[in-house]
Amino acid sequence: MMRLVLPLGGCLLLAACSSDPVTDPSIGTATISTTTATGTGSSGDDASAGPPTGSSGDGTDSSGEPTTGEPEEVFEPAPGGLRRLQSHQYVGSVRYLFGDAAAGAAAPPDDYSLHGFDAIGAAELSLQESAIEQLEASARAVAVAAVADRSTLGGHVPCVLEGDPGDSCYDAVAVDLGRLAWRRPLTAEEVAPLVAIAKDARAWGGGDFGVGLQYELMALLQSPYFIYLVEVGEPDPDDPDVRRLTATELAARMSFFLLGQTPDAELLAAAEAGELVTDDDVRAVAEAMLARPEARATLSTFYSELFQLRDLSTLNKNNDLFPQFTPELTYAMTYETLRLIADIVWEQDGDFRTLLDADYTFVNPALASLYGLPPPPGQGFARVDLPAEQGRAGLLGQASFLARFAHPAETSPTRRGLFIRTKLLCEKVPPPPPGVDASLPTEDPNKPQTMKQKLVQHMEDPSCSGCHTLLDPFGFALENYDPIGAFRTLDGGLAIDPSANIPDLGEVASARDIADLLVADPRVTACVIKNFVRGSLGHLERSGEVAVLDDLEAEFVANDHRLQHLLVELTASPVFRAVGAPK
Amino acid sequence: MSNRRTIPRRTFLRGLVGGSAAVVGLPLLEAMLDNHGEALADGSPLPTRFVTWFFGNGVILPRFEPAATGPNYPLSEQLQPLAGVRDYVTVLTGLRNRCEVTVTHHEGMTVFNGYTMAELNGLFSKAGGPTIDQLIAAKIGKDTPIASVHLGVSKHLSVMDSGTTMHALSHKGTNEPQYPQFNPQQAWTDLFGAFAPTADDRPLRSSILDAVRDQTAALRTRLGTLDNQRLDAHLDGVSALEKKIEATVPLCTLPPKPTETNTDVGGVEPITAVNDVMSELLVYAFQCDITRVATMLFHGGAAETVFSEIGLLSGHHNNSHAQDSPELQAGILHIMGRFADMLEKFKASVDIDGKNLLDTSIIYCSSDCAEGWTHSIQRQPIILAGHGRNQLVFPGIHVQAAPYPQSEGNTSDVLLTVLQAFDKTATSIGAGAPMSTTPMAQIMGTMF
Repeated sequence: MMRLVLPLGGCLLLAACSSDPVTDPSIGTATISTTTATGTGSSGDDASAGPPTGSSGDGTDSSGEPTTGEPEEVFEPAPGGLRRLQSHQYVGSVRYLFGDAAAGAAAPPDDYSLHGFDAIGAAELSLQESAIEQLEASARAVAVAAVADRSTLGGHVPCVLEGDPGDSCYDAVAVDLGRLAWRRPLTAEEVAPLVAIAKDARAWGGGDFGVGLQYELMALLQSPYFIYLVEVGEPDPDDPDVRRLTATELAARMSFFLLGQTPDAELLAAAEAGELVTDDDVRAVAEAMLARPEARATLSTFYSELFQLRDLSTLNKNNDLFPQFTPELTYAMTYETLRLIADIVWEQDGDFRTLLDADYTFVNPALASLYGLPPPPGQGFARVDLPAEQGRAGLLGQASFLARFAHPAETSPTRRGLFIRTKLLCEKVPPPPPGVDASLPTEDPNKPQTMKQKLVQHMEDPSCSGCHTLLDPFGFALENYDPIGAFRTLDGGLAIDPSANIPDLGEVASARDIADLLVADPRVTACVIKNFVRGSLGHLERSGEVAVLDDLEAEFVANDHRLQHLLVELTASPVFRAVGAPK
Repeated sequence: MSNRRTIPRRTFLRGLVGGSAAVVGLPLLEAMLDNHGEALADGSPLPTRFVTWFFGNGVILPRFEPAATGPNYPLSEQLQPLAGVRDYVTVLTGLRNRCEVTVTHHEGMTVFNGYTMAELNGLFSKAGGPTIDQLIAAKIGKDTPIASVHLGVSKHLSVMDSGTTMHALSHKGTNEPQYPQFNPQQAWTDLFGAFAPTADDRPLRSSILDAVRDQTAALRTRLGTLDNQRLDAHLDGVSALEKKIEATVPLCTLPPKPTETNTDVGGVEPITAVNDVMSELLVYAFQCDITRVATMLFHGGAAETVFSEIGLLSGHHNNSHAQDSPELQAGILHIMGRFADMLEKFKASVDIDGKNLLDTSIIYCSSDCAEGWTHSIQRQPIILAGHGRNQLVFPGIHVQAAPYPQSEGNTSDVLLTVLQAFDKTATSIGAGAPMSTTPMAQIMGTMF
C-alpha cells in the first residue's frame, strides 16, 4: 500500500518545519494515512504537539493538515508547466539531432537539485544569469560541431548535405529540425525569424551556407522551447475535469523519461497522427523504447543519481589509509552497481528486488582485490558469487554504497542508515533538534571504543535517540565493511560486533540480513515507484496520486517486480499522462 | 519587439575585440577617471565593491572573540591570520541571529538576508528572500557588464540541505538561487570570456536573443505564476547576456585563463590554490570594473569538505561536532588564513583611483552558526573587512553586543548598515523577526 511519508515517528517532535500547512488547496483537503514506518509510528496529529514542527517530510509534497483515515480516492495530478531539460537530456537530444561530436561539445549549465533530485530542481528553480550565457556558449559549440560534421543532421534535413544549398534549406532546417528540437510543429511566425537569422549570418559570413546554418542552430538551441519541456495539457475528452498531456507532450515526456532525449521523427509523426492515445498505444511505444540502447543508458543515469554513484569520482578518502582508493577503483565501484542493475533489468528481466539480495556481483581485478576474491580472468568484469562468510548481498554489500556513505577515514553508520531510510524505504528523517550538542563523548585514551560503542553511548541522550535508533542500527550491521567497502573484523584493533536491532525490521548483523528483511518489506516496493515520480517526473508524490500509485504498485507486485513492466505501466498511468493546471 | 535585425548595426570596438590593440596595464587610471581623479570619466562616482564571504560550521567562540572591544582590540587566536590586514577588520560578536526556526545550519544563512527560510521540510529549505549581495547588485550592478558574480572554493557541499539555502550563498528569491562556480576556468569564462578576441558576431547574437524574447513572450501566456517567474528570471539572464554582448570592452588587460580546474588529486582538494585563483580573478574583475558585487562560498556549512591539504583526516563538519578539538581549531585557522589570503590580495591591489581594494570594498563574512557542536545562532559572529571608501568605520573595531555567553540585538542590523553603505534609500532589510530597521551607528564610517 502506497503511503505518503510522514517524519519517522520517533523523530516527529524534533522536526523543524514551516507552520503554513494549507497553502495549496489541491492538497489541503487530502487525508493522509499514518506511516507504518516505525514501531513507534505516530499519527500526523502529533506534529502539532511540539515546537515548530512539520507535517510532512522530505518525502512527500503533502503539507496538508494530516488527519487519520483512508486516503481519498480523488485523483489530482501534479501541476503542469515548465520543466528544464536536465543536463543528460540536453546532451541526449543533441546526440540524436546532431551526432556524437556535437554531443561531446555540448556543455549545458549544471543541474540544480531539490530534494536530492535534479528533476525536481528542473521543475521549480529558475536559471541564474550565468546559466543563460552558458546556454549560449553551449549552443555555439554544438552548432559549430554540427555544421562541421553534418552526417547526422543530414539524416533529418537532407538538403544540408548538398553541395551548395540555397536559402530554402534554412526553411527546411527550421521546419524539420525545429519540430524535433522543440517537440512540436513550428508555426510560420516561428519559422520566419529563424530563417532571417540564418540569412543575416550567411551574409555576415561572406555567403557561406554553413555560417548561416550555425546561427540558425544556435537560435533553435537557445529557444525556451528547446530548453524547457512545456507540459500544459488539454482537457481529457473522456473526463473534461482532468487535463491530459497532448499527444506531442506525451511523446516528449515518454522519450525523455525512457530514452533521455527528444522524441524522434517517427514518434512525433505517430503522435500527431493520433496513434498515441489509448493505454495500449502508450504501452506499445514504451515497450519499443525499452528495446533501445538509450533506455539502458538512461536507467543507468537515473540510478547514478539516486544512489549518488556520480559522487564517487570526487569522493574524499584518506590517502594514507586507503591508497588503493584510486579513480580507477571508484569507476569500478560505479560500474559494478550499474552492471548488476543492467543484469537484473535488461538481461534477466527479473525481480528488481534482486538488487538488494543478489548473491552474486560483477568485479574486475581491482574490485576482486578489494573484496578479497580471486581475480577474474582478464582485465574486465566478470560475474562472481559473493563469499557467504562476508555477509554481503546486493547493493548494500557493494563498495559504491559502502564507500559513498562513509567518512574519509571512518565509517558512518548514520549515513549508511540514512541512505537506506531515504532512498530505499522513501522515509523522511527530520533534522536534529535545536540546541542539541552534537559532540560525541570524549574518548578516553585508556578505553578505546569501536564506532558502534561510541554511537550507542551517543544514543543514550534522549534528544538523539529518537532518530538515531532508526538510522544507526543499519550501519552497525554494516560495520564489517570499512570506509571503502573492504571486509574487516576489527575496528581500530577492537573486535566488531555487527549485531543490531532495527526497530521496525528486526535483528540484523550483516548486509545479507538487512537485505532479506528489506526484500520482504512492501515499503521497498513502493519506494521503487516513488523514486521514479521524484527523479523522473520531477515532483514529490502528492496525496491526490496515492490511489493511482497504489494501483501501479499492485501491478508491479503482480508482475514479479519486473522493472521493465513497471516502467511501461508507469507511462500508461494517469500519474504520467495527466497534469494539473499550469503552476 | 526590437529592430535589431540588420547586421552592420554596430561596429563596437572592433580593434579591441580583434585583440591586436589596446593591451593596457592594470589599472588604467587616467582613462577611467575624470580630470580630478575623484569620479569616473562619465561623472559617476568612484565605484565601491561588495563581497560576501562564507565559511561553514562556525568558530570556537572563546578562541575567536577578541578579549577587548573598540578600536585597537587585540586579535584573538582565531583572528590572528588577519594580522596583516588588521586595520581593515571590524569584528561583531554577541549579536543574535533572529531566524524564526532552526533546522541546524540552514538558519545561520539568515545573516546574509534577514529572512527566515521558506518551504521548510525536514532537511530541506529554500531562501526566504533575496540576499544582501542581490540587493546591492540591484542598486549598483547596472553600471558594470556583470551585475554580480558567484564563486566557490570547496565543491564538496552540504549533506544537510536537500534544498537551496546552503548550496548557494546568493539568492535573488525563493526559486532563484545563484549557485557558485567552483571551477576557476569556468569562472574566468563567466567573467572575462565575453571580452576575449573573437569574430564580431554580436549583432547576430543579439538577434537570437530577440527571438528568445519573442518566444518567451508567447510561451508565458500559457503558464502559471510560478513558471512565469521562472521565465522572468530567464529573461533577466537574457538581458544580462545582452548587456555583456554590448558592453564596451574593458580598458585593461584580461588575465590569462587559469590552469587550475579544482580537481582533487589523491583525495586532496586544492583549496588554497583555488582560493588564490578565485581571489585573483575577483581582484581583476574589480580593477577592470567588470563587476562590483561578488559572493564567495569558501566551503559549505555541514559540507563534506576535508582539509586534507593540511593533513586533516576527517571532514571539517564532522570535526566541528567535537567541541574544541585540535582538528576543529586547525580547520578554523586554515579557513581564516584563506580569508586573509584574499584580503591580502585586495590590500596589495590598486583600484582605479590609486587606493587599495580594501579601501574601496566592503567584505561581509560570516558562517552558518556560532559553534558547530551546538549549531547555535545565538552569538553568531560577523567579520567586516574593508571600509568601502569610508562608508564603514576605519580603522576597524570590535563591537560586542552582549558579554559572552549572552546575546543581544540583531545580526540584521549589520546587514542593513552595509546595505545603506550602498543604498541610502534602504530603510529595512529582511522580514519577520530577523528584519531590521535599525542600522548600527558604531560601525558607520566618516562618509556614511
